[in-house]
Amino acid sequence: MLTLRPFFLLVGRPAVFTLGALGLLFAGFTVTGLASPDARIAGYFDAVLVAALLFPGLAGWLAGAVIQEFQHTSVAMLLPGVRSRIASGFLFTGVVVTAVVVGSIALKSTTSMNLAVLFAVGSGAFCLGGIFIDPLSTWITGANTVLALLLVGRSQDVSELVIAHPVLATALSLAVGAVSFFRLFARSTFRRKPFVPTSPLPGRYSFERSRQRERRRTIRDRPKKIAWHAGYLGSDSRRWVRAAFHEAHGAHGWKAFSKGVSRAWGVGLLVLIYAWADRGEMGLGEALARSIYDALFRSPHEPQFGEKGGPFLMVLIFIAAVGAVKALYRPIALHAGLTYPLSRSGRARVHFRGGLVDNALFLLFAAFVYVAGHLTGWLVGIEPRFDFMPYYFRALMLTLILMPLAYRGRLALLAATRRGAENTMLGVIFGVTAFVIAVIVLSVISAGLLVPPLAELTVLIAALVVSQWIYRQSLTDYYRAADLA
Amino acid sequence: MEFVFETNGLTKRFDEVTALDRVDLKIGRPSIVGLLGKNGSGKTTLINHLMGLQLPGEGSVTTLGRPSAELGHDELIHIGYVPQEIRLLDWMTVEQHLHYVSCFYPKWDREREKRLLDELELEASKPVGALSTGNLQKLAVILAVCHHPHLLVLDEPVSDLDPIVREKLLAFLLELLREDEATILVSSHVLRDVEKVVDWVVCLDEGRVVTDSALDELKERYSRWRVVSKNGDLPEIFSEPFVIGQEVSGREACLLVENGASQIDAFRSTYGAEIVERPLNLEEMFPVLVQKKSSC
Repeated sequence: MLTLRPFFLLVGRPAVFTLGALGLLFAGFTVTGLASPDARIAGYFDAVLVAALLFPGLAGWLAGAVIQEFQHTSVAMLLPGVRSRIASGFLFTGVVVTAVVVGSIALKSTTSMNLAVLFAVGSGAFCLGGIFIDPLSTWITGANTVLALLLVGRSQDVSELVIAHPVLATALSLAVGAVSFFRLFARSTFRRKPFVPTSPLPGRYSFERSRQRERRRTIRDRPKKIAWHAGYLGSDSRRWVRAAFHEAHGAHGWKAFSKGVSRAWGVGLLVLIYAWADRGEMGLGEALARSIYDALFRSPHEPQFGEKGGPFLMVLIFIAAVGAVKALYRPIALHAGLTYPLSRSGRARVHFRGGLVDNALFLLFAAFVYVAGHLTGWLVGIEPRFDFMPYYFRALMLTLILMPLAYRGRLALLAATRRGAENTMLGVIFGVTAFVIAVIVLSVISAGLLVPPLAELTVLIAALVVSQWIYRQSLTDYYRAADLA
Repeated sequence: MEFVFETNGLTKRFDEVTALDRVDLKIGRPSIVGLLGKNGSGKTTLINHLMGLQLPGEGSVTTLGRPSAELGHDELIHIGYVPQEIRLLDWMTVEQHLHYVSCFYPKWDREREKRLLDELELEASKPVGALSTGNLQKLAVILAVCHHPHLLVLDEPVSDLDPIVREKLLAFLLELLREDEATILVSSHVLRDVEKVVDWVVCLDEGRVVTDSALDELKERYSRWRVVSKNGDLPEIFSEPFVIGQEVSGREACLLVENGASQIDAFRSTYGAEIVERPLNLEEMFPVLVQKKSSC
């Protein structure tokens, strides 16, 4: 038990339990949803296999995150026997979690899959979860994402393979587990971690890219001309907003920003999975285009919007989530820790205007999603439908109205976590979740009121103006009294 | 003789920058070694190599008799390390962190831990995330010494400490040298403090070792002469090869000399001057060591 202690001392804390509970809820809802006898999805998913992958996988991710956080401390590398002790705790947890999951499956459901094979699959998923987000390689993270999407998206096919070839499935699962375990605990990779100060767990969660990756990227993408110089600065607050944009999005400015947006490959992969699942007799291009349209406007996997039929929640959730992440993640604002030749009221003004630019960018993105969705549908011969537009517009307006609240919430969160005692990441997770729920609930209420469109539009615009005004006042108050260093 | 650490032709390059260039070092025990050098001279890179945190591009590094890349349990229980950039688990309290790290060592001196907490005035119940930079440095030192290391490596350990704590810490290092017969490697820019404890000096410049010598030897080698002529003005420039720095003003001059002890009588009679000799302290010596020239 003594050798397991170091691992459990790291794991036994409220932040890990809270994240674990959130993960459990997420996995529980997902598996319950997939297990429902919905004819449209029944052919694609095997809830038992998803449960055997998802629960241990999430537990492994959490355990891996705890280990990576510890690896990024300056003491970790030179502690005697650190790898073996942490690794034994990790393995012990994996075995227990997988055993509990497989035991629950055996008690609660009927499956043709051999339980021993499921145990091997779960163990592999636990170890893979440990390096799911690999700070040393975006390629491994990308490959893991593809693998996870494939396993879940085609879980019915995979489970048939597992039933038909149990030995092969066991061997493959154990091999994936062993490679992941080696990747997590090999001396060479373990040594490299302290130079990647990305804390993946709350406490000092850093959204910033790791230093090495940033350095490599800077060398690779060295700007062809000087992107910023002191002459840009002046008393004009537009120039300060430009400086804030530069701080938020780096030396490459618009180029980096557009690159960041275009790198939303996760969404692309999701679409690809949809395309594969629904392909049928269609060609890949047509299937892909239909899938994009369906994913945006007719997702068959999402519950309907009330009893009205037609519009679905998925794109609304997506839009609200993008707005929340935009506001909470890296808004256009001057970095708090630097001193600028700018008064406190000036900083408030720049912060506010930076928010307006953020809102404009968000609007552009939302318009792009809407237009691109319809364009894709039109390309494969789907008649454009505009009955969905009020729902989309309403959610968009509500997101814009609530975004200042998120900006202000972020400032409060930063002030609360400046001393490093609290959990920034948890705040962001809860913030995004609460934001999305608020937008959806308000959308549902607003749609149910059956107010004439013009009156509703007037109220929404008025609310937007009021929300911006309150935000402006609150920023002025904040900068008047806040610690800026 | 077995050395505590040894490097042979150690070279490390980062892209176009050569951080360490054919470094040859051999340090035995017990001793306190001062690792000096300008910013970016390769001190931290060298320390990272000794600790096995970075691996040599060329050459070899041996720490406690084993290649540093292969340092295992048996060696690590005898090593203490205070890095320049201290990152600890913010969510733990000081007490919890000490307890956590102690789990890894077979011998952890609770009495030493308690004494240091008291002497350095560190509150055990405080969360690590709430510590100031100086207090974080104190905690890192306590974490590095309570298992009685044979090799203690301190990378800028006193930079954020107040003078009183600095004194206490330096006194403790001497105690550690006596009690544990440890070899202590201290990299620091606070040369006045370092000078009080080190007996050996290694100086790096642009990744190369420019000095690897006992402090006493250096003090004998480098000195400052206050020269006052008894027969009119002194020459504007002294061309003697042992004079490495000079300021001349009429009948008076201040000279920095290297290995000048044997030349002092001849110099005195040549220029008919009174000479007052004083050895250089480490702070005065530093520019001489890294640049081989200095003003008075």
